[in-house]
Amino acid sequence: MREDSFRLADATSDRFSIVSMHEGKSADFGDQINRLSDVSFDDTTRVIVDGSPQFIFRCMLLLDGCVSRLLLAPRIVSSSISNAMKSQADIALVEHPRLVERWKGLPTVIGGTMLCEASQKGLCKRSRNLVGATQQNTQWVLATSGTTGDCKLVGHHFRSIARTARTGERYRGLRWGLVFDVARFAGLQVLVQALVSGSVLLSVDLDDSVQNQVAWLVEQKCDALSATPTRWRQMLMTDRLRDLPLRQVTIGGEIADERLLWSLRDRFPHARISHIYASTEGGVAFSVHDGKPGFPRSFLETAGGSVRLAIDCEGMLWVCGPCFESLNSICEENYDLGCESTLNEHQGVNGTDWLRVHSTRGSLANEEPHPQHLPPLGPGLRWINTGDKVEVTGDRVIFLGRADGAINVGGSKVFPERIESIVRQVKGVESVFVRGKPSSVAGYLVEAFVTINHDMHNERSMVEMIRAHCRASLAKHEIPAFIHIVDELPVTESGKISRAAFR
Amino acid sequence: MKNIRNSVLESLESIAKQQGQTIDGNLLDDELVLAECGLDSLGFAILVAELEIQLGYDPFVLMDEPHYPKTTGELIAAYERFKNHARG
Repeated sequence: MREDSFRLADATSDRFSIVSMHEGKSADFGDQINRLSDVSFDDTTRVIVDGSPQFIFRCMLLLDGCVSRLLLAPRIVSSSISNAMKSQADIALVEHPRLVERWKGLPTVIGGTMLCEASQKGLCKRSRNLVGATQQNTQWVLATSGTTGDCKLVGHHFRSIARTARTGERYRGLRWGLVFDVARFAGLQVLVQALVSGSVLLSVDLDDSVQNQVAWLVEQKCDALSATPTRWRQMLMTDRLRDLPLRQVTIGGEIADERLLWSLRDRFPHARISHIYASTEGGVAFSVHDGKPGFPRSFLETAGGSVRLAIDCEGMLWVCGPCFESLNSICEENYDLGCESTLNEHQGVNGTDWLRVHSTRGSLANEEPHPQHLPPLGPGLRWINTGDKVEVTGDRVIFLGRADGAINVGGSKVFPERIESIVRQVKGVESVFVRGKPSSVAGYLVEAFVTINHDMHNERSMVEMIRAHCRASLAKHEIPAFIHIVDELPVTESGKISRAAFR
Repeated sequence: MKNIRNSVLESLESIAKQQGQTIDGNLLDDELVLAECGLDSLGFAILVAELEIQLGYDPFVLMDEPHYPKTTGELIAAYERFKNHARG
């Protein structure tokens, strides 16, 4: 198969299926269905799809290769996301009548029952006739919110996402739990991994409690699960997680600390634990499978045919780009962010040339000169600053945190992620968020918000224990000056602790 | 409104304790030199932030030219001076 003709329908294994936690909840919209054939599609059409993972998947199967763009609507749509998406689409395909309002102003098709009832591949083949389109590279567009909370639309091609999905024996027939929104990058990766490897995708109801989600996954014999450290910690707090027969545990999106890795190893002694480190800016990623935090120092020395990494004199981690083709993983998995293009919602809203082909790498190349103290690279390659500060400890490289997230306490830099990992070591601490509290005297002070297991200790004794542990492990300026015990910490749609919610 | 003097002295004592220092209660008067009670610049920053939570204002933001107190008495005076900014 030629790579440029690689499409979702061709890649989907016959053994792939989706089981939804909320199945049975969907209503019958038989009377309200507009027929797709009433709508004119061609290879320039840009389509928003909005509904359950099952619905989104079927729309993708139907339209991939037939239309110009498929914009996957996230589960929670803010007005900035809906405006950005609407400005880039011609039509919306929604599962449920209540979703019509979101896409007001665009022609909308309600296609729930029809799509759910149709056989997957049959429907796809029919669709080619239905829309009469020539095969083309459909772009899949996702909404993303960066660490700053800005909405961006990011375009990918199916082949760029599928290229990194694994199809080896180890991955066949797994039952993957989907605890991300399928219209977010991490969720889409899980979907694509499941469909190319012929797995069953177990789609949890994200509106239900974590406890119920885990109980359902146990019932469904889920044996592979990918989540952020924050989401893993939430799940570890439920008493059912240990009943999952996990063979594959995947962690990504935030720094995984030793305690989390240890807990997961303890709960799932037979699982393969993979920690994915992806640099969106660099368009490269690698994974570590030894269950330890950070990555082996030897990764810094690996050269040629692998992800090249280097640390500068200020402790910043750099990756080599942009010749992505030569960057095939040193490890088994890598997330290909290389073919992405981005759109700021403020850019080119009415134009047709909205895709500023990101060239995340290209643009950086112009802005950032080659750092002299890093090893020279061959033609077409350059060093890209990941923005992550690291520290070499023995044979390990440990992530300290985002350089731009550092708190300046009286002129000394404090990395919130490092403090969080120390606080989490205290028994009884469930989750923690650290930020800088403005101070007229020191610039900033360290402030921690902590959720605790109330069965183990009272609030006062927990604060004292956290303080004592921090005193033993941290420099004076790093110790949280304020420790607040809270009932819960806000978590974003992508499963990370919401730093924006604390601003 | 909270008693400023009591708030300052109580916070001073508890933050010094937090920093691993113990202030002899007998010495806790207006003449006590802040630097000698084990409170360094970080401890002082924490004290000011703590008092802002309790009293609702930070005199060192309100002053035209920040003047950092040397003794407990000067510290209390700084808070007394801006007490009309206190939360009801």
